[in-house]
Amino acid sequence: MITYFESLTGANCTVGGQTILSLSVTEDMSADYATATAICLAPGGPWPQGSHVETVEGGVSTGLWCITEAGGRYSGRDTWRRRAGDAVYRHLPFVSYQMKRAGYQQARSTISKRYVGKDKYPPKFATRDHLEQVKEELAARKDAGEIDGFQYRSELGSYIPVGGAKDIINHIARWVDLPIVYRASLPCCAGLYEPVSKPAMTAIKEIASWSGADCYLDRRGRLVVYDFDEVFNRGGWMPKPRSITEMEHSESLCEVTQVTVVGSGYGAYEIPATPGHFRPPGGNPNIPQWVEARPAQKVKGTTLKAVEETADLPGQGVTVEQRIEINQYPINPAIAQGIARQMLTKAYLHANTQTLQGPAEGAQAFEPIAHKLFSVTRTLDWNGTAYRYMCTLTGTTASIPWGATASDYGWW
Amino acid sequence: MTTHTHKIRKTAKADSEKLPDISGTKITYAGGTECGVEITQRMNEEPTVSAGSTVTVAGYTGVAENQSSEILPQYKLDGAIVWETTTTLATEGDSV
Repeated sequence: MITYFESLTGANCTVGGQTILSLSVTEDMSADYATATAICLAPGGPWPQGSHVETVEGGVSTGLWCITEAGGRYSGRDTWRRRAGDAVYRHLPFVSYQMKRAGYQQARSTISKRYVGKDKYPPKFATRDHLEQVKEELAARKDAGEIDGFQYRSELGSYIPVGGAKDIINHIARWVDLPIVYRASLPCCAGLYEPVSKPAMTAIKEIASWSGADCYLDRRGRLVVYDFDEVFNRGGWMPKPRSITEMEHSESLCEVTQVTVVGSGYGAYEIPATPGHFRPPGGNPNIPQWVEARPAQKVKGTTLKAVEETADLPGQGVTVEQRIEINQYPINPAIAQGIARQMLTKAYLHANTQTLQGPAEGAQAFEPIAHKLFSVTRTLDWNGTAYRYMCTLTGTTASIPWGATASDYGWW
Repeated sequence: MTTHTHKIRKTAKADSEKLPDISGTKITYAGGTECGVEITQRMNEEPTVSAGSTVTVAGYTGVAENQSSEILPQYKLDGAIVWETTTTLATEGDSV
């Protein structure tokens, strides 16, 4: 028989080293930030707002938090007490906290002159291809006498050249001092991106969404860029509490059964490998006597081609289509298919959810993205004699077995 | 007037709660205490009852929270009919 809650004490249930009386935590992948509220005993007073604290539940760390609101409470009826062994009455040092996940401040800070610098503001991220076009246009204007050399250089210098979406995210993250963890490749990138006055989190989400990815602040305050399909279709099971006291499952009709992504992109073709060979006797004297072997070569095409990829939910009677047009940046069939499948997976899995409730001891480590979970809530309450510590895990047991992946290569 | 004290009942009550502590042990905290005395007296004259003011009854001083008096015609004290008065006092301090 497992006995729960016995090992929970004021020493191993703390917020920033202060004993917890009540704690409620919600970690939800669809919300920008995990949130928590706590009431603690703090003889030294509350932590100031903006400070970072660690929650420890049953001796296990459950992450770092930024205090967004801190307060104390004095009440003659509720807090005026005499501690056993003391001669005098004092107010119980109750403090309450509203908290958001560490990194919240950095993630919500807006991309402004303070971070970017006056010279580079407003920031203009340009891919190298796009920058070549800009250069050509500026050179033409310079040749036509519209702008002088100084203006040419200053205009060109206002662009930040990037190799791809990850480069842009890295720039923004560095400005606001936000650590980033990539759990998704981001193959798509708009030619020009100007994130003026946007919160860093909004800008990064937007950039990640070009490739169908999303973001989530993890327990260490790092922004994880993840791929929904990778998290929920990678195999394995939804984690469970050590004992289940309540279970609910819900299956609803999927809002969308078909997603089509349309756009355009540059194809690639291959020049096949050729073995080394001698010039045939009496052959063209302009050909060298010995021609070296040459490996196969992938060459990027120069003509824009239309891309259209459709993903269907198997076994659905009716078709409800969502069509996404991507005009900002080039894509290929594999990317289009990835985005379509990702959207469909998200819609389907959210329509097939399972909620498990049980004691949270042993379940402290479960969190969205790191595990196959949409959301986790935990409550830790002092009931007058002991702690009661419960968790609710929401995830899915469904999955979609997708077929073969489309090509990202060759003319389509 | 002749007065006899028949009954005295003393009460003391405190709200207490146990809370967790950073030391790992539970600590008991007591809220404010409420002490009181209930005194029953018999006398051979009709008394006046009152409440709300500080009074001293049978040597106990406190705020009279409640006072009631009742005639007992079957009893006589020094030849006069007996009245029985019950006074509830709220006293100061943690003990009485």
